[in-house]
Parts: sequence; structure tokens; C-alpha cells
Amino acid sequence: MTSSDARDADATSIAESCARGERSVESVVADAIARAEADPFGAMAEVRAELALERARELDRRRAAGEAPGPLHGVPFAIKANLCARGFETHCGSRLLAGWRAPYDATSVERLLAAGAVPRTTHMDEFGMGSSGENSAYEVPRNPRDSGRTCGGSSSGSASAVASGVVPFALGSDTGGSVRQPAAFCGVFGLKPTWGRVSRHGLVAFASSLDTVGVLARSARDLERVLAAASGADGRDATATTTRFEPRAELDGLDGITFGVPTFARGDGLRGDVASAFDAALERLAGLGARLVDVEIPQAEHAVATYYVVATAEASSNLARFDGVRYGERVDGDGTLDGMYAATRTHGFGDEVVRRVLLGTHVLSSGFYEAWFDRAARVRRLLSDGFDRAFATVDAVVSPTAPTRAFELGSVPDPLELYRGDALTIPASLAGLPAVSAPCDVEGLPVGLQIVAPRGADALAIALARAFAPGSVPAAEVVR
Amino acid sequence: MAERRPQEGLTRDADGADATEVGRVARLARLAPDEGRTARLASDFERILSAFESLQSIDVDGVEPLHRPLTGDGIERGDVACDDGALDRDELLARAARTREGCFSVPRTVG
Repeated sequence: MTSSDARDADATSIAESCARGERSVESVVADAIARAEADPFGAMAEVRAELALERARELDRRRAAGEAPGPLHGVPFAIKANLCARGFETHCGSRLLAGWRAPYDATSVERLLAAGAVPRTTHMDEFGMGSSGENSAYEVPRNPRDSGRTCGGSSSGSASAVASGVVPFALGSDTGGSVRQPAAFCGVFGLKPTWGRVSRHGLVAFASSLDTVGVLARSARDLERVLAAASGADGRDATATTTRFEPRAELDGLDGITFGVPTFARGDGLRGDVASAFDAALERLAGLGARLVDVEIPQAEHAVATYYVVATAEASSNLARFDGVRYGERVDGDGTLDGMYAATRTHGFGDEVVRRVLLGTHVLSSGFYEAWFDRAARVRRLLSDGFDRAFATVDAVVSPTAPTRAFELGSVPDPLELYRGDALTIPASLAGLPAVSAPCDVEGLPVGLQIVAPRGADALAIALARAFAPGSVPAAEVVR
Repeated sequence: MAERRPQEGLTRDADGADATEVGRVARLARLAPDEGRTARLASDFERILSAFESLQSIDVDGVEPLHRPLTGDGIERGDVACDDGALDRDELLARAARTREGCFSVPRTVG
């Protein structure tokens, strides 16, 4: 495998090549460091080259000594900067956490390291709040398929790094679409697992009942390999499921599979060019032998409102911990305790975080709780039950991943318009369902096909994505 | 379809979002936006909550709220201290803005 092959290679082929001794981990990692340091699209937060090379040599030594290589042996990967990786700056895209270095590894990170992978970190929207990567106190990553456009968000840097070939896969977090939407915008695969499939220990919380640790990769088989390594029960997160993730055999076509096409897949705001790409994707599924039927998911048209009430309420609680005492920067303010809290948070949080914390505080406050938060939680139940009923008759539900292609940087300043852009990913998030965004094509500006499976059927979602888009998508060409 | 609930959306007297309401919520959230930022936030508040007002028209009578899409099979621990993987006190304190005699240090609140 040459250096340029490695840029396009998926994680599975790199791991197998290193395990067979065809390439040393050191040479793979040295190439990846060169790509990360060039970083033409501003995706990388921190590379830590010496640490990576030390780890690579250690992996080579262990293999030479007869130790069995792990399933991700020697594979460089990227970690969104809201997942703790010991010694790395876990800034969450926020000025408030500038310079804060994690004292431990998130469970998902720890497991990928045990599987032989080699880490670095990527930029993101602040605390996972954004759909463009632009809500950040740091560099805003650009889309490798068109560098004048956003890569989506909030796992913006992770998507950019995978699409440009800096790394073959990356961890992101997906609360309302933050892995799937950037995957669609950048023309790569993105997996949001079933809520609880991957431990959230070490993921800086945004909205705990919605947060998941997800994967971005250039092949569907990599999603499966990474999920198998990262998932599983965890004594440090009681919501992490004890049910083992069992990979599925590759499907030979889609005979016998029924896809439901929900009304919300063609809802308001869907651009004509995305609708055309979706129609072509449905034709491709039918051509592979699948049956397509219309399904109705009640209340899906209220999903955006439901999500932004629930998620902001949970965020207002979770982000209360950032007060200048235990983490990050402190601003003294008027010298009182309350003054210090307020000055630290007001200085440290960006506009979108402030907006959501205020909204969440409002919907939880006395006099408004029943009308907003409690009501949204009940609508969430109706929507989740609606998916369960649909899955009695269909194997999976499909839609475009996002209603638009990647938009130009700075072109959507209105927060409400950005919220509405999450309309297609949010329903699965509210119901806790596994979903994969698979690239329809990567010629020009990509469009993603979202495949949503029943709760716990992550392997099915991945297998269907693999049948739809087999093989590995190429990394974007770097135009200098 | 259930009868529409009384307007409880934004302010108790349904006047729409204003700087006073944003100020009230900001104090609860330990935030202190300046006048200009408060005005912008108040405008956003009004538009966002108006757009979400459709939630009030959904019949949710008898529907249980969904707070966690749980499978319910995680590992629960006893409520006891656990040394396994516990972090070093000094290492944690080293990451705080200010410390004193092995504790987090904050502005004086009594006396």
C-alpha cells in the first residue's frame, strides 16, 4: 500500500495490511501525521505527532513480539473535541474550556485505543450546538468537496477529516443529527447508534437523553468494525446496553427488505435537487430488490419543536457545571460568587450556547414547565410509538439525511432556519433509533440517504447502507 | 384534537418575549448578557417560541412523557464509592481555575 493508497484506504484495509505486516504502523501513522499537519480544510484541533509515533512504534513492537493485532491495528483516527482523550485538549469548541486537558479517556476512546487505533482531535460546533461548524471559538472546518461551503455540524472537523483523507474514520457525537448531517454534506458515511449502544462516559454532555457517540467513515464496513470495538456495557454509564452488538453478514441484494418512505421525507424545505437525488436513491433500492411503501410517522412534523424544547432544557442543566470553579477559564466579575458565575459563563459561552441555555431555562422554569417541557416529552412519546408501529410492517425507514446540500459558509445566520435544517435527522434522535447516512454519490456536492432501523438493529442499518453503497468512497481531491 | 390550552407559551401575560423575560431567565441561568445582546436574544426568543407554538395544539391527554429511550438493561452500580479508575485529586485540582489547600477556591460567600 503506497502513501496515496493509504489516503483513500478505509480503516478495514489499513488494519488488515498492518496486521499482515505489509506496512508498519509507524509508516502509516507518519503519513497520517503529514496529512494532518497539512490539514488543508482546517479540521484538526490537535495532532500530537510525537505521541502518535511512540504509540505506532509500540504497536509494531507488540506485533513483532507475537501479540495478536486488534481489529483497528495501526489505524489513525480522529476524535471530536467533546470526547475526553487523556492529555488532549477537550475544548468542546468553547472559549470557556480553552486549554482544558482531559485527565482520562472516554470509554469509547479507551476501547478504540485497545483495538489498536491511533488518535488525534478535531474541531466542532461549541458543545455540539450547531449545523455548520461555524459556532466555534476556534477554526471553522471547510468542506473538502467544496471549500467555500460548510461541512455541516456539529461534528464538522470529524467529517472534514474523513472526507479529505486525513483519517479513515472519526468519532463524533450525534444528538439531533450531528454525525449524519455532516456525513451527508461531506460525502461520507455517518452512524448514529441506538441510544445506549455506546457508553457516554467521557462524552461532555449536551442533552443526555439524546446524546450518542457516533462514527464517520468512508465505508459502511468501517462503521461496523468501529461500532463493534466501541460498543458494549460499561459500569461507568448505567444507560449503556448490555446487549452485545452482533455484526451481520453482508447482504446479497435487498430481496425481501421493505423500506418505509415517511411523509416527512418530502416535507417543507426539501430542495428540489435533494428530492431528485432521493428519488434516484429509491430507484436504486428498488433495483436491488427492495419493496418501497409509504408510512406515516405521527407528529414527525412537530419533531423540530419537540427536540429544541427537550434538548435545550437538558442542555441548560448539563451546562450549569461550567461556572469557573471546576473546569476551564474563570472571569472574576464583581468579585461575588454569583457575579463570578455569570461573568465566567457570559464571557465563555458563544451566542448559540447562550441562546439555547436561556431557551432551556425558560421551558423548565416555574409557570412554563407544563406548557413546554412536559408537553414536548409527551409528544416525543407519540413520535417514538409511531416509529414502533411503522416497524411492524417495514424493515427500515428512509429519507434524505438533510433537506439541502452543503450551504455556503456564512450564508445561514438565522438560528431558526438552521434548526429547521435538522428536521429529517431529529425524529430518529427523539426515538433513540439507530440511523446511517450513506452517500448517494460524491460527484459535485453530495447528498446523503438516511436509513433508520428499529431500536437495537444497528447492524441492520449498517448492512442496508452497505448494500446501497458498497465499497469505500474516495477522499476528496485537494486542490492547492 | 384537544381544545387549545390557554396561552402559556412565553410570558405569563402572553405579551411575547421581551427584555424583561430574557433578563429573568438569564438570572436563573447565571448569565449576564449586556443590553445589546439581550435585545437580540429577546427577538430570537420570540420568533423561536412562536414557531414552536404548534406543540400546544397536540392532544397529549393520557400520554406518558418519554424522558429516556431506554432498553433498561444497563449495568447499575450500588451507591458506594468505587476506587476502580478513580482520578487523582491533585490531577483534577490542577485543571481548576483556582485552588487552595487541596480544595476548589471560590469567592467568599459568608462573613
